[in-house]
Amino acid sequence: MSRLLSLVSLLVFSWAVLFGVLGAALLIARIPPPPTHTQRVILGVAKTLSGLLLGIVWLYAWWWAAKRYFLKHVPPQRALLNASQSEGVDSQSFSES
Amino acid sequence: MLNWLSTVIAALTALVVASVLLARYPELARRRGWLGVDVHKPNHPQIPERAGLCSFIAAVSGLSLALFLVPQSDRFALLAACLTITIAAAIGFIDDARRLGPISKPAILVIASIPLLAFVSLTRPHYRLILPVIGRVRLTYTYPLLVLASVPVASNAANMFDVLNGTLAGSSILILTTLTTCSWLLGESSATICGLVLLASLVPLYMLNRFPSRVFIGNVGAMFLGASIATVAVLGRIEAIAVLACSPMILNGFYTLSSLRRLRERHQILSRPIFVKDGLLYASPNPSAPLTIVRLVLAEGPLKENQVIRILHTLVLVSCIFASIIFLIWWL
Repeated sequence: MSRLLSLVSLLVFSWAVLFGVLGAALLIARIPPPPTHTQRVILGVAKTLSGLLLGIVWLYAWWWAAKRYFLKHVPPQRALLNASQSEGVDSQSFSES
Repeated sequence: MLNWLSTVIAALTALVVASVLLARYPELARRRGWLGVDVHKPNHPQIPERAGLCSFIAAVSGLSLALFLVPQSDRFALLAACLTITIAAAIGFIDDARRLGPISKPAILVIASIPLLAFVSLTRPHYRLILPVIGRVRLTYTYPLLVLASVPVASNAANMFDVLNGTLAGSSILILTTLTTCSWLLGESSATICGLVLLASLVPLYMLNRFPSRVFIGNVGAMFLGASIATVAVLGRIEAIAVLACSPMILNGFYTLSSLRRLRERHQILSRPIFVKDGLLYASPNPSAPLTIVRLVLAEGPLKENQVIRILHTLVLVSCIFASIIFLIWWL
């Protein structure tokens, strides 16, 4: 149960960051359109790029939180690798062919 | 306006076709040698693969029938949906038969988005995407690119989530139920029909694919399901809701890509994220192993396979509930 709560809280954290990012995007979206066509195109490109950047911020915030959570419970130990690991493919199957 | 009689007939057709095909499929797959090893079971049984093909055929049968039954206004959308999932499933089938490269696969999957893009470009020239917090935004140049990216991103995220018995099929049922309900509440009839037909084709597959699996869905099934989610999201104008509902899938895909720092196929990953010992799944302590969602679930200690599956489904369910709440606040 506590494990599930930890994982759900990771999800909730990601959504909180997402909504923060969307709030920042709202401020960018509210910039009034400039008078000339060229300026409007430049602003459009800048808005798109900042949207992309905010998306990357969101994904990396997730990544940072998940990595922190994982390393808290599983400190890196190269020596623990054993023979049975080779069969533990994180995929339910691998093709015989 | 949704024609319930046509929708029910199309969905029932998909359900019957999927049930009939899946009843005979394991024997056919064994004869053809389409088998995969269930590496998380103690005796490593050989399980028939590519069963997603049956659900795909059932979905296309239902959608094709719906094309003749629904009003003219919904036909273009259903045709685009049919073509998108057919191309995605075909790419998945090729990937099952002869592995496609980690970069060529998403690149080829862009082709599957073209029917959706054609539909969007011709029917929604001044489309405004709805985003939570921001509201309606006009993305004249970016939206077509997002539609083009939707199928490769969703299909690859779905493929990466297909790690344990029934995880992807079960999660797809939850996500498609959420998206179909939202589409229905918005009055998007084509997305509702499409979602119901896809759900009807998916339920028999889940019954066989759930723990302990009697069939595997294969890449054909993963690509088909990813494309289905993207299609219903675009047709229903609920792209942001789909992103929220698919959070665990996107999270898993991004974790994997970030840890590997590049696109790689499963067989190219040398350090495995989890290992099996005495019937229990353990998170690998190897720092070079990718950080997948299953490894994250196992961080606090080993679990049985069915316990991990239950946690993954719960995470998807929580995401779907959150997505539904956001939908009720911002869309209705």
